[in-house]
Amino acid sequence: MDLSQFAQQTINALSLGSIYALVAIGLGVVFSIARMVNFAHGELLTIAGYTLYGLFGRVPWPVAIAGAIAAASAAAVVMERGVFRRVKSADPVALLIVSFALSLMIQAVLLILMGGTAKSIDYPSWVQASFTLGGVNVAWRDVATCVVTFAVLIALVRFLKQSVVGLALRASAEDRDVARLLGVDPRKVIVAAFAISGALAGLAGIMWFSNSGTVTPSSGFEPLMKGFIAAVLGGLGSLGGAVVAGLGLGILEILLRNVLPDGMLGLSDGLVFVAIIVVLLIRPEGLFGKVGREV
Amino acid sequence: MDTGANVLAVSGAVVKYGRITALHGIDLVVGKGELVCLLGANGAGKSSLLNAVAGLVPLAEGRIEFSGKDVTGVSCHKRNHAGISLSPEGRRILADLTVRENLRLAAARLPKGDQAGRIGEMFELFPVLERKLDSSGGFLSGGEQQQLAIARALLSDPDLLLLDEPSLGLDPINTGKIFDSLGSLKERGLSILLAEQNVTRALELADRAYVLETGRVSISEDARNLSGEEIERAYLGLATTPGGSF
Repeated sequence: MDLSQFAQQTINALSLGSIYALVAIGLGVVFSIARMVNFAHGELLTIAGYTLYGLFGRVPWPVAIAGAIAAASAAAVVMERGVFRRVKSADPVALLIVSFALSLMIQAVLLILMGGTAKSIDYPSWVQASFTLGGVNVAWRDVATCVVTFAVLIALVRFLKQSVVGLALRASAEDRDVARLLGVDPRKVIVAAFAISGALAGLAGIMWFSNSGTVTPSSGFEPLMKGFIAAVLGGLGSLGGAVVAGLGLGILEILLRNVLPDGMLGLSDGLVFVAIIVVLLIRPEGLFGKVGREV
Repeated sequence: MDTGANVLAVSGAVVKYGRITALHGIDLVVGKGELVCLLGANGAGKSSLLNAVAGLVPLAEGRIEFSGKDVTGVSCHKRNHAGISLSPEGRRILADLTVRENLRLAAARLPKGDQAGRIGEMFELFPVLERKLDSSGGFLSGGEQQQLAIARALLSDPDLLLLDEPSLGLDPINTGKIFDSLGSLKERGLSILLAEQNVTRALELADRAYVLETGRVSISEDARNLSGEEIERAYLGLATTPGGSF
Protein backbone atom coordinates (compact mmCIF):
# COMPACT_ATOMS: atom_id res chain seq x y z
CA MET A 1 0.00 0.00 0.00
CA ASP A 2 1.53 3.34 -1.03
CA LEU A 3 1.17 6.60 0.90
CA SER A 4 -1.81 7.91 -1.06
CA GLN A 5 -3.65 4.61 -0.65
CA PHE A 6 -2.85 4.70 3.05
CA ALA A 7 -4.24 8.24 3.33
CA GLN A 8 -7.36 7.23 1.44
CA GLN A 9 -7.97 4.23 3.67
CA THR A 10 -7.38 6.35 6.76
CA ILE A 11 -10.13 8.72 5.65
CA ASN A 12 -12.41 5.75 4.95
CA ALA A 13 -11.66 4.35 8.40
CA LEU A 14 -12.35 7.63 10.17
CA SER A 15 -15.59 8.04 8.24
CA LEU A 16 -16.80 4.51 9.07
CA GLY A 17 -15.61 4.86 12.67
CA SER A 18 -17.50 8.15 13.03
CA ILE A 19 -20.75 6.39 12.17
CA TYR A 20 -20.05 3.62 14.69
CA ALA A 21 -19.25 6.29 17.29
CA LEU A 22 -22.56 8.08 16.69
CA VAL A 23 -24.48 4.81 17.06
CA ALA A 24 -22.50 3.96 20.21
CA ILE A 25 -23.16 7.37 21.77
CA GLY A 26 -26.88 7.04 20.99
CA LEU A 27 -27.00 3.64 22.70
CA GLY A 28 -24.94 4.99 25.60
CA VAL A 29 -27.19 8.00 26.25
CA VAL A 30 -30.22 5.72 26.70
CA PHE A 31 -28.24 3.16 28.70
CA SER A 32 -26.99 5.83 31.13
CA ILE A 33 -30.50 7.00 31.93
CA ALA A 34 -32.74 3.96 31.44
CA ARG A 35 -30.16 1.26 32.27
CA MET A 36 -31.11 -0.70 29.15
CA VAL A 37 -29.55 -1.42 25.78
CA ASN A 38 -32.07 -0.57 23.09
CA PHE A 39 -31.59 -3.13 20.34
CA ALA A 40 -34.32 -1.41 18.33
CA HIS A 41 -31.86 1.48 17.89
CA GLY A 42 -30.84 0.07 14.50
CA GLU A 43 -34.39 0.49 13.25
CA LEU A 44 -34.11 4.22 13.97
CA LEU A 45 -31.32 4.34 11.37
CA THR A 46 -33.56 2.40 9.00
CA ILE A 47 -36.43 4.83 9.57
CA ALA A 48 -34.06 7.71 8.75
CA GLY A 49 -33.10 5.84 5.56
CA TYR A 50 -36.69 5.38 4.43
CA THR A 51 -37.45 9.02 5.26
CA LEU A 52 -34.57 10.07 3.00
CA TYR A 53 -35.87 7.70 0.32
CA GLY A 54 -39.24 9.44 0.50
CA LEU A 55 -37.97 13.01 0.71
CA PHE A 56 -34.85 13.32 -1.47
CA GLY A 57 -35.84 14.78 -4.83
CA ARG A 58 -39.15 16.07 -3.46
CA VAL A 59 -37.87 18.69 -1.01
CA PRO A 60 -34.55 20.57 -0.75
CA TRP A 61 -31.86 18.23 0.62
CA PRO A 62 -31.35 20.13 3.92
CA VAL A 63 -35.07 19.71 4.61
CA ALA A 64 -34.84 16.00 3.79
CA ILE A 65 -31.92 15.59 6.19
CA ALA A 66 -33.69 17.51 8.95
CA GLY A 67 -36.78 15.37 8.28
CA ALA A 68 -34.79 12.14 8.61
CA ILE A 69 -33.28 13.24 11.92
CA ALA A 70 -36.67 14.39 13.20
CA ALA A 71 -38.33 11.13 12.12
CA ALA A 72 -35.74 8.98 13.91
CA SER A 73 -35.93 11.15 17.02
CA ALA A 74 -39.73 11.06 17.05
CA ALA A 75 -39.70 7.27 16.53
CA ALA A 76 -37.36 6.89 19.52
CA VAL A 77 -39.72 8.93 21.71
CA VAL A 78 -42.68 6.84 20.51
CA MET A 79 -40.71 3.67 21.40
CA GLU A 80 -40.16 5.01 24.91
CA ARG A 81 -43.67 6.22 25.52
CA GLY A 82 -45.40 3.34 23.76
CA VAL A 83 -43.30 0.41 24.91
CA PHE A 84 -40.35 0.94 27.26
CA ARG A 85 -42.19 3.17 29.75
CA ARG A 86 -44.74 0.41 30.26
CA VAL A 87 -42.09 -2.16 31.14
CA LYS A 88 -39.59 0.11 32.90
CA SER A 89 -39.76 -1.88 36.14
CA ALA A 90 -38.93 -5.14 34.38
CA ASP A 91 -35.55 -6.76 34.98
CA PRO A 92 -32.74 -5.99 32.51
CA VAL A 93 -33.05 -9.30 30.68
CA ALA A 94 -36.76 -8.73 30.07
CA LEU A 95 -36.00 -5.20 28.79
CA LEU A 96 -33.41 -6.64 26.45
CA ILE A 97 -35.93 -9.14 25.07
CA VAL A 98 -38.54 -6.38 24.69
CA SER A 99 -36.10 -4.28 22.68
CA PHE A 100 -35.25 -7.26 20.45
CA ALA A 101 -38.97 -7.93 19.93
CA LEU A 102 -39.56 -4.27 19.10
CA SER A 103 -36.71 -4.38 16.60
CA LEU A 104 -38.22 -7.41 14.83
CA MET A 105 -41.70 -5.88 14.94
CA ILE A 106 -40.55 -2.65 13.30
CA GLN A 107 -38.71 -4.65 10.64
CA ALA A 108 -41.89 -6.64 9.95
CA VAL A 109 -43.99 -3.46 9.68
CA LEU A 110 -41.44 -1.90 7.32
CA LEU A 111 -41.44 -5.11 5.27
CA ILE A 112 -45.23 -4.89 4.89
CA LEU A 113 -45.23 -1.16 4.13
CA MET A 114 -42.12 -0.83 1.97
CA GLY A 115 -41.54 -4.33 0.63
CA GLY A 116 -38.42 -6.45 0.88
CA THR A 117 -36.55 -5.05 -2.13
CA ALA A 118 -33.80 -2.54 -1.52
CA LYS A 119 -34.91 1.06 -2.12
CA SER A 120 -32.35 3.27 -3.76
CA ILE A 121 -31.86 6.57 -1.95
CA ASP A 122 -31.33 9.44 -4.34
CA TYR A 123 -28.67 11.44 -2.45
CA PRO A 124 -27.64 14.82 -3.91
CA SER A 125 -24.88 14.43 -6.46
CA TRP A 126 -22.29 16.26 -4.33
CA VAL A 127 -22.46 13.51 -1.71
CA GLN A 128 -21.07 10.97 -4.16
CA ALA A 129 -18.59 13.44 -5.68
CA SER A 130 -14.95 13.55 -4.69
CA PHE A 131 -11.92 15.80 -4.98
CA THR A 132 -8.19 15.18 -5.16
CA LEU A 133 -5.87 16.46 -2.46
CA GLY A 134 -2.14 15.77 -2.77
CA GLY A 135 -2.81 12.81 -5.01
CA VAL A 136 -5.41 11.42 -2.61
CA ASN A 137 -8.96 10.99 -3.84
CA VAL A 138 -11.31 12.17 -1.08
CA ALA A 139 -15.09 11.66 -1.19
CA TRP A 140 -17.16 14.61 0.01
CA ARG A 141 -19.31 12.04 1.79
CA ASP A 142 -16.37 11.03 3.98
CA VAL A 143 -15.40 14.63 4.70
CA ALA A 144 -18.98 15.48 5.63
CA THR A 145 -19.24 12.41 7.89
CA CYS A 146 -16.08 13.27 9.84
CA VAL A 147 -16.81 17.01 10.09
CA VAL A 148 -20.45 16.55 11.09
CA THR A 149 -19.58 13.89 13.68
CA PHE A 150 -16.91 16.15 15.19
CA ALA A 151 -19.30 19.11 15.25
CA VAL A 152 -22.09 17.01 16.79
CA LEU A 153 -19.73 15.76 19.49
CA ILE A 154 -18.72 19.30 20.43
CA ALA A 155 -22.36 20.39 20.44
CA LEU A 156 -23.35 17.39 22.55
CA VAL A 157 -20.62 18.01 25.13
CA ARG A 158 -21.61 21.70 25.37
CA PHE A 159 -25.26 20.71 25.70
CA LEU A 160 -24.50 18.22 28.49
CA LYS A 161 -22.31 20.72 30.37
CA GLN A 162 -24.16 23.98 29.86
CA SER A 163 -27.88 23.35 29.48
CA VAL A 164 -30.17 22.52 32.38
CA VAL A 165 -31.52 19.51 30.45
CA GLY A 166 -27.93 18.33 29.91
CA LEU A 167 -27.14 18.71 33.61
CA ALA A 168 -30.34 16.87 34.47
CA LEU A 169 -29.33 14.04 32.12
CA ARG A 170 -25.88 13.75 33.71
CA ALA A 171 -27.32 13.96 37.22
CA SER A 172 -29.90 11.27 36.47
CA ALA A 173 -27.23 9.06 34.93
CA GLU A 174 -25.14 9.33 38.10
CA ASP A 175 -27.81 9.16 40.80
CA ARG A 176 -31.44 9.09 39.79
CA ASP A 177 -32.76 9.60 43.33
CA VAL A 178 -30.61 12.68 43.93
CA ALA A 179 -31.75 14.10 40.60
CA ARG A 180 -35.38 13.62 41.73
CA LEU A 181 -34.55 15.30 45.05
CA LEU A 182 -33.29 18.29 43.07
CA GLY A 183 -36.62 18.54 41.27
CA VAL A 184 -35.69 16.72 38.07
CA ASP A 185 -38.68 14.96 36.50
CA PRO A 186 -37.43 11.43 35.67
CA ARG A 187 -39.98 10.95 32.90
CA LYS A 188 -38.88 14.09 31.07
CA VAL A 189 -35.24 13.07 31.40
CA ILE A 190 -35.94 9.66 29.86
CA VAL A 191 -37.88 11.24 26.98
CA ALA A 192 -34.99 13.67 26.41
CA ALA A 193 -32.51 10.79 26.40
CA PHE A 194 -34.52 8.86 23.80
CA ALA A 195 -35.04 12.00 21.68
CA ILE A 196 -31.29 12.71 21.65
CA SER A 197 -30.48 9.06 21.02
CA GLY A 198 -32.95 9.01 18.10
CA ALA A 199 -31.50 12.20 16.60
CA LEU A 200 -28.01 10.69 16.75
CA ALA A 201 -29.34 7.51 15.13
CA GLY A 202 -30.95 9.61 12.38
CA LEU A 203 -27.67 11.35 11.71
CA ALA A 204 -25.79 8.05 11.72
CA GLY A 205 -28.41 6.62 9.32
CA ILE A 206 -27.97 9.52 6.88
CA MET A 207 -24.22 8.84 6.81
CA TRP A 208 -24.52 5.06 6.71
CA PHE A 209 -26.91 5.02 3.76
CA SER A 210 -24.83 7.57 1.86
CA ASN A 211 -22.29 4.75 1.70
CA SER A 212 -24.57 1.86 0.77
CA GLY A 213 -27.04 3.94 -1.27
CA THR A 214 -29.96 1.61 -0.53
CA VAL A 215 -32.22 0.79 2.40
CA THR A 216 -34.08 -2.41 3.33
CA PRO A 217 -36.13 -3.20 6.47
CA SER A 218 -33.14 -4.96 8.07
CA SER A 219 -30.49 -2.37 7.06
CA GLY A 220 -30.10 -1.08 10.62
CA PHE A 221 -28.77 -4.36 11.99
CA GLU A 222 -25.14 -4.08 10.88
CA PRO A 223 -24.52 -0.50 12.11
CA LEU A 224 -26.38 -1.38 15.32
CA MET A 225 -24.11 -4.34 16.01
CA LYS A 226 -20.95 -2.38 15.24
CA GLY A 227 -22.17 0.57 17.31
CA PHE A 228 -23.09 -1.77 20.16
CA ILE A 229 -19.63 -3.32 20.06
CA ALA A 230 -18.07 0.16 20.11
CA ALA A 231 -20.31 1.14 23.04
CA VAL A 232 -19.32 -1.95 25.06
CA LEU A 233 -15.68 -1.62 24.08
CA GLY A 234 -15.57 2.05 25.08
CA GLY A 235 -17.52 1.43 28.30
CA LEU A 236 -21.30 1.67 28.01
CA GLY A 237 -22.40 5.25 28.54
CA SER A 238 -18.95 6.79 28.19
CA LEU A 239 -19.04 9.47 25.50
CA GLY A 240 -15.27 9.59 25.08
CA GLY A 241 -15.07 5.80 25.14
CA ALA A 242 -17.70 5.52 22.39
CA VAL A 243 -15.72 7.87 20.16
CA VAL A 244 -12.38 6.16 20.69
CA ALA A 245 -13.83 2.66 20.34
CA GLY A 246 -15.95 3.63 17.32
CA LEU A 247 -12.98 5.12 15.49
CA GLY A 248 -10.78 2.20 16.55
CA LEU A 249 -13.33 -0.28 15.24
CA GLY A 250 -13.55 1.58 11.92
CA ILE A 251 -9.77 1.65 11.58
CA LEU A 252 -9.44 -2.05 12.45
CA GLU A 253 -12.16 -3.02 9.97
CA ILE A 254 -10.65 -1.03 7.08
CA LEU A 255 -7.16 -2.25 7.97
CA LEU A 256 -8.22 -5.90 7.85
CA ARG A 257 -10.04 -5.39 4.55
CA ASN A 258 -6.77 -4.11 3.08
CA VAL A 259 -4.26 -6.52 4.54
CA LEU A 260 -6.19 -9.79 4.34
CA PRO A 261 -5.79 -11.83 1.15
CA ASP A 262 -8.91 -11.94 -1.03
CA GLY A 263 -9.76 -15.45 0.06
CA MET A 264 -9.82 -14.47 3.72
CA LEU A 265 -11.86 -11.24 3.49
CA GLY A 266 -14.87 -13.04 4.90
CA LEU A 267 -12.94 -13.48 8.11
CA SER A 268 -12.46 -9.76 8.73
CA ASP A 269 -15.55 -9.38 10.98
CA GLY A 270 -14.54 -12.53 12.87
CA LEU A 271 -11.06 -11.18 13.49
CA VAL A 272 -12.54 -7.86 14.68
CA PHE A 273 -14.62 -9.80 17.20
CA VAL A 274 -11.56 -11.76 18.36
CA ALA A 275 -9.70 -8.48 18.98
CA ILE A 276 -12.68 -7.16 20.94
CA ILE A 277 -12.93 -10.30 23.05
CA VAL A 278 -9.24 -9.93 23.92
CA VAL A 279 -9.75 -6.30 24.97
CA LEU A 280 -12.79 -7.18 27.06
CA LEU A 281 -10.96 -10.06 28.74
CA ILE A 282 -8.34 -7.56 29.88
CA ARG A 283 -10.82 -4.75 30.69
CA PRO A 284 -14.32 -6.22 31.16
CA GLU A 285 -15.73 -2.76 31.95
CA GLY A 286 -14.54 -1.45 28.56
CA LEU A 287 -11.73 0.95 27.77
CA PHE A 288 -13.24 3.92 29.59
CA GLY A 289 -15.93 2.18 31.61
CA LYS A 290 -16.52 2.33 35.32
CA VAL A 291 -19.25 1.23 37.68
CA GLY A 292 -22.25 3.58 37.50
CA ARG A 293 -20.99 5.16 34.29
CA GLU A 294 -22.11 8.70 33.47
CA VAL A 295 -23.24 10.16 30.15
CA MET B 1 -53.90 16.35 65.61
CA ASP B 2 -54.16 20.04 64.75
CA THR B 3 -52.23 20.53 61.55
CA GLY B 4 -53.31 24.08 60.82
CA ALA B 5 -50.06 25.81 61.85
CA ASN B 6 -47.83 22.95 60.89
CA VAL B 7 -45.62 22.85 57.85
CA LEU B 8 -45.47 19.07 58.06
CA ALA B 9 -47.88 16.58 59.59
CA VAL B 10 -47.18 12.87 59.31
CA SER B 11 -49.84 10.51 60.62
CA GLY B 12 -49.78 6.73 60.90
CA ALA B 13 -46.79 6.43 58.55
CA VAL B 14 -45.86 2.84 57.73
CA VAL B 15 -42.89 2.10 55.47
CA LYS B 16 -42.07 -1.40 54.29
CA TYR B 17 -39.12 -2.76 52.36
CA GLY B 18 -40.46 -6.07 51.11
CA ARG B 19 -41.34 -8.08 54.23
CA ILE B 20 -39.45 -5.78 56.56
CA THR B 21 -41.40 -2.98 58.19
CA ALA B 22 -39.16 0.02 58.85
CA LEU B 23 -41.79 2.41 60.25
CA HIS B 24 -44.76 1.25 62.32
CA GLY B 25 -47.32 4.06 62.23
CA ILE B 26 -45.30 7.19 62.97
CA ASP B 27 -47.05 10.43 63.94
CA LEU B 28 -44.97 13.60 63.73
CA VAL B 29 -45.44 17.32 63.18
CA VAL B 30 -43.11 20.20 62.33
CA GLY B 31 -44.40 23.68 63.00
CA LYS B 32 -43.56 26.76 60.95
CA GLY B 33 -40.05 27.95 61.81
CA GLU B 34 -39.40 25.00 64.09
CA LEU B 35 -36.30 22.87 64.18
CA VAL B 36 -37.39 19.36 65.08
CA CYS B 37 -34.84 16.72 65.80
CA LEU B 38 -35.10 12.97 65.09
CA LEU B 39 -32.93 10.92 67.40
CA GLY B 40 -32.37 7.21 67.59
CA ALA B 41 -29.87 4.45 67.12
CA ASN B 42 -28.85 3.18 63.69
CA GLY B 43 -31.76 1.36 62.08
CA ALA B 44 -34.35 3.15 64.22
CA GLY B 45 -36.08 4.47 61.08
CA LYS B 46 -34.86 8.09 60.93
CA SER B 47 -33.72 7.91 57.30
CA SER B 48 -36.80 5.95 56.25
CA LEU B 49 -39.00 8.67 57.73
CA LEU B 50 -37.09 11.48 56.01
CA ASN B 51 -37.07 9.59 52.71
CA ALA B 52 -40.81 9.00 53.01
CA VAL B 53 -41.46 12.70 53.63
CA ALA B 54 -39.27 13.61 50.63
CA GLY B 55 -41.08 11.05 48.46
CA LEU B 56 -38.14 8.73 47.83
CA VAL B 57 -39.93 5.79 49.43
CA PRO B 58 -43.70 5.25 49.37
CA LEU B 59 -45.91 4.90 52.44
CA ALA B 60 -47.57 1.52 52.81
CA GLU B 61 -50.08 3.19 55.13
CA GLY B 62 -50.60 6.65 56.58
CA ARG B 63 -50.67 10.19 55.34
CA ILE B 64 -48.26 13.09 54.84
CA GLU B 65 -49.55 16.66 54.81
CA PHE B 66 -47.35 19.53 53.75
CA SER B 67 -48.62 23.08 54.39
CA GLY B 68 -52.08 21.64 54.88
CA LYS B 69 -52.13 19.68 51.61
CA ASP B 70 -52.06 15.91 51.29
CA VAL B 71 -48.83 15.00 49.45
CA THR B 72 -48.86 11.27 50.26
CA GLY B 73 -49.13 10.20 46.62
CA VAL B 74 -47.13 13.09 45.15
CA SER B 75 -43.89 12.15 43.38
CA CYS B 76 -40.50 13.13 44.79
CA HIS B 77 -39.64 15.85 42.25
CA LYS B 78 -43.06 17.46 42.66
CA ARG B 79 -42.61 17.56 46.45
CA ASN B 80 -39.35 19.41 45.78
CA HIS B 81 -41.23 21.87 43.57
CA ALA B 82 -43.81 22.26 46.34
CA GLY B 83 -41.13 23.22 48.89
CA ILE B 84 -39.77 20.05 50.54
CA SER B 85 -36.03 19.59 50.17
CA LEU B 86 -33.88 16.74 51.49
CA SER B 87 -30.13 16.66 52.04
CA PRO B 88 -29.72 12.88 52.05
CA GLU B 89 -27.62 10.66 54.28
CA GLY B 90 -24.08 10.18 53.00
CA ARG B 91 -24.26 13.54 51.19
CA ARG B 92 -24.67 11.85 47.78
CA ILE B 93 -22.95 14.63 45.90
CA LEU B 94 -23.05 14.33 42.14
CA ALA B 95 -19.36 13.52 41.92
CA ASP B 96 -18.97 13.96 38.17
CA LEU B 97 -20.59 17.40 38.19
CA THR B 98 -18.62 20.43 39.33
CA VAL B 99 -19.74 22.47 42.32
CA ARG B 100 -21.03 25.10 39.88
CA GLU B 101 -23.04 22.45 37.98
CA ASN B 102 -24.44 20.94 41.20
CA LEU B 103 -25.62 24.38 42.31
CA ARG B 104 -26.93 25.39 38.87
CA LEU B 105 -29.06 22.28 38.61
CA ALA B 106 -30.43 22.76 42.12
CA ALA B 107 -31.36 26.38 41.34
CA ALA B 108 -32.80 25.61 37.92
CA ARG B 109 -36.44 25.95 38.96
CA LEU B 110 -36.02 29.44 40.39
CA PRO B 111 -36.82 32.38 38.09
CA LYS B 112 -33.72 33.09 35.95
CA GLY B 113 -33.22 36.52 37.50
CA ASP B 114 -33.15 35.07 41.03
CA GLN B 115 -30.71 32.21 40.44
CA ALA B 116 -27.41 34.10 40.72
CA GLY B 117 -28.57 35.98 43.82
CA ARG B 118 -29.69 32.79 45.51
CA ILE B 119 -26.42 31.03 44.71
CA GLY B 120 -24.63 34.12 46.10
CA GLU B 121 -26.55 33.65 49.36
CA MET B 122 -25.20 30.11 49.54
CA PHE B 123 -21.66 31.48 49.17
CA GLU B 124 -22.29 33.72 52.18
CA LEU B 125 -23.45 30.72 54.17
CA PHE B 126 -20.74 28.37 52.84
CA PRO B 127 -17.82 30.50 51.55
CA VAL B 128 -15.71 27.47 50.62
CA LEU B 129 -18.07 26.63 47.78
CA GLU B 130 -17.24 29.86 45.92
CA ARG B 131 -13.54 28.97 46.04
CA LYS B 132 -14.21 25.46 44.71
CA LEU B 133 -16.72 26.31 41.99
CA ASP B 134 -14.93 24.43 39.23
CA SER B 135 -13.91 21.41 41.30
CA SER B 136 -15.74 18.16 40.69
CA GLY B 137 -18.01 17.21 43.56
CA GLY B 138 -16.06 13.99 43.99
CA PHE B 139 -12.86 15.91 44.76
CA LEU B 140 -14.27 17.88 47.70
CA SER B 141 -13.48 16.94 51.29
CA GLY B 142 -16.24 15.42 53.44
CA GLY B 143 -16.99 18.75 55.10
CA GLU B 144 -17.10 20.58 51.78
CA GLN B 145 -19.37 17.93 50.32
CA GLN B 146 -21.73 18.29 53.26
CA GLN B 147 -21.84 22.05 52.79
CA LEU B 148 -22.55 21.54 49.10
CA ALA B 149 -25.31 19.02 49.91
CA ILE B 150 -27.02 21.49 52.25
CA ALA B 151 -26.55 24.41 49.82
CA ARG B 152 -28.04 22.28 47.06
CA ALA B 153 -31.04 21.45 49.22
CA LEU B 154 -31.52 25.12 50.12
CA LEU B 155 -31.28 26.41 46.55
CA SER B 156 -34.82 25.42 45.66
CA ASP B 157 -35.91 27.89 48.36
CA PRO B 158 -37.77 25.25 50.42
CA ASP B 159 -40.32 25.77 53.15
CA LEU B 160 -39.18 22.56 54.84
CA LEU B 161 -35.57 21.38 54.95
CA LEU B 162 -34.94 17.72 55.75
CA LEU B 163 -31.40 16.92 56.87
CA ASP B 164 -30.22 13.35 57.26
CA GLU B 165 -27.12 13.01 59.46
CA PRO B 166 -25.33 16.18 58.31
CA SER B 167 -22.41 15.63 60.70
CA LEU B 168 -21.84 11.99 59.77
CA GLY B 169 -18.15 11.31 59.14
CA LEU B 170 -17.07 14.91 59.79
CA ASP B 171 -14.33 16.08 62.14
CA PRO B 172 -15.29 18.36 65.06
CA ILE B 173 -14.33 21.56 63.19
CA ASN B 174 -16.51 20.76 60.18
CA THR B 175 -19.29 19.51 62.46
CA GLY B 176 -19.16 22.88 64.22
CA LYS B 177 -19.41 24.71 60.90
CA ILE B 178 -22.44 22.68 59.84
CA PHE B 179 -24.26 23.29 63.13
CA ASP B 180 -23.41 27.02 62.98
CA SER B 181 -25.02 27.09 59.52
CA LEU B 182 -28.09 25.28 60.84
CA GLY B 183 -28.33 27.89 63.58
CA SER B 184 -28.33 30.65 60.94
CA LEU B 185 -31.02 28.87 58.94
CA LYS B 186 -33.17 28.47 62.03
CA GLU B 187 -32.81 32.17 62.82
CA ARG B 188 -34.06 32.94 59.32
CA GLY B 189 -37.27 31.07 60.16
CA LEU B 190 -36.77 27.97 58.02
CA SER B 191 -38.62 24.85 59.20
CA ILE B 192 -36.14 22.01 59.64
CA LEU B 193 -36.49 18.31 60.38
CA LEU B 194 -33.07 17.04 61.39
CA ALA B 195 -31.99 13.42 61.87
CA GLU B 196 -28.75 13.44 63.79
CA GLN B 197 -26.50 11.15 65.82
CA ASN B 198 -24.72 14.06 67.50
CA VAL B 199 -27.39 14.33 70.19
CA THR B 200 -25.84 17.12 72.24
CA ARG B 201 -25.35 19.51 69.33
CA ALA B 202 -28.74 18.66 67.84
CA LEU B 203 -30.63 19.29 71.09
CA GLU B 204 -28.85 22.64 71.56
CA LEU B 205 -30.53 23.84 68.36
CA ALA B 206 -33.80 21.92 68.37
CA ASP B 207 -37.16 23.13 69.61
CA ARG B 208 -38.52 19.63 69.91
CA ALA B 209 -37.28 16.10 69.50
CA TYR B 210 -38.64 12.70 68.62
CA VAL B 211 -36.75 9.62 69.66
CA LEU B 212 -37.32 6.66 67.34
CA GLU B 213 -36.84 3.08 68.37
CA THR B 214 -37.23 0.22 65.87
CA GLY B 215 -39.56 2.24 63.67
CA ARG B 216 -41.74 3.65 66.47
CA VAL B 217 -41.74 6.96 68.32
CA SER B 218 -40.66 6.12 71.86
CA ILE B 219 -40.29 9.70 73.13
CA SER B 220 -41.64 12.99 71.83
CA GLU B 221 -40.67 15.93 73.97
CA ASP B 222 -39.55 19.57 74.06
CA ALA B 223 -35.82 19.46 73.43
CA ARG B 224 -34.98 21.27 76.64
CA ASN B 225 -36.95 18.71 78.69
CA LEU B 226 -35.14 15.68 77.30
CA SER B 227 -32.69 14.24 79.78
CA GLY B 228 -29.51 12.45 78.82
CA GLU B 229 -30.72 9.40 80.69
CA GLU B 230 -33.94 9.21 78.67
CA ILE B 231 -32.04 9.41 75.43
CA GLU B 232 -29.51 6.86 76.55
CA ARG B 233 -32.29 4.45 77.44
CA ALA B 234 -33.90 5.00 74.03
CA TYR B 235 -30.62 4.33 72.23
CA LEU B 236 -30.25 1.14 74.22
CA GLY B 237 -33.82 0.13 73.39
CA LEU B 238 -35.02 0.54 76.98
CA ALA B 239 -37.39 3.49 76.61
CA THR B 240 -40.98 2.79 77.56
CA THR B 241 -42.56 6.20 77.12
CA PRO B 242 -45.36 5.88 74.58
CA GLY B 243 -45.26 8.23 71.58
CA GLY B 244 -47.13 11.40 72.36
CA SER B 245 -48.23 14.46 70.48
CA PHE B 246 -47.57 18.07 71.25
